[in-house]
Amino acid sequence: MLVLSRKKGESIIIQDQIELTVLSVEGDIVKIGISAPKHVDIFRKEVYLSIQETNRESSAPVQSDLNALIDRLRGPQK
Amino acid sequence: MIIETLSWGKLEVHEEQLYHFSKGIPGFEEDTDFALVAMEDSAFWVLQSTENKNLSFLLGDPFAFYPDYEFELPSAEAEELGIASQVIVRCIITLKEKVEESTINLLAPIVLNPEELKGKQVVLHKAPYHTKHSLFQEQPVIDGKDGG
Repeated sequence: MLVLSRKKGESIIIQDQIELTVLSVEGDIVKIGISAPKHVDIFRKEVYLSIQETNRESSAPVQSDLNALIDRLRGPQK
Repeated sequence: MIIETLSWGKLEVHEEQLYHFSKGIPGFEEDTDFALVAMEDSAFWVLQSTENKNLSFLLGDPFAFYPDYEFELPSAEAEELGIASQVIVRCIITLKEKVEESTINLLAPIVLNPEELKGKQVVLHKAPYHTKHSLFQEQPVIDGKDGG
């Protein structure tokens, strides 16, 4: 991991195309501005990990669970 | 085209059901080609990898479960998918053995362009949604991170 120091308003350039700028620092919250090409997806890491994990849990649904779901939706409780 | 599926064995699918996900799906980035198969007599679809029979997702219509569901598709994603007029939005359902614990991922909908047959799981940044909303709305949110 590369570690470097930046002050408010200073930037970091990655591969000519991605620019990270420190917009403000308040206590332990740092606001970062990101300029990147449109095809580059940017995520909060914890959100992305949560989506990956949810997708893994959802892959290969079990047929019996699906049948139970369909029955439930058709049932009087819906 | 005949594809292999876990639930239905060999299945014939047509060109207009074959979607390309250029970035895959988070967690399964290596699988980029999927068939969208409507399930008969139900409000569900299966997104089945055409390369890996063990990889499939159950999709639901989010608007059927959450009529107030809405989001703005970022222009970068609309451009990436080549969306001009038509768009299909489905969300991945996480099935649980206890049916009432099943959830739907409203934070990261599957957005499809039926004209160019491109798809992407879009992560919403400013939406008030989570990865696990109850399908039955008795408990609005079970857990999962939000986008805000």
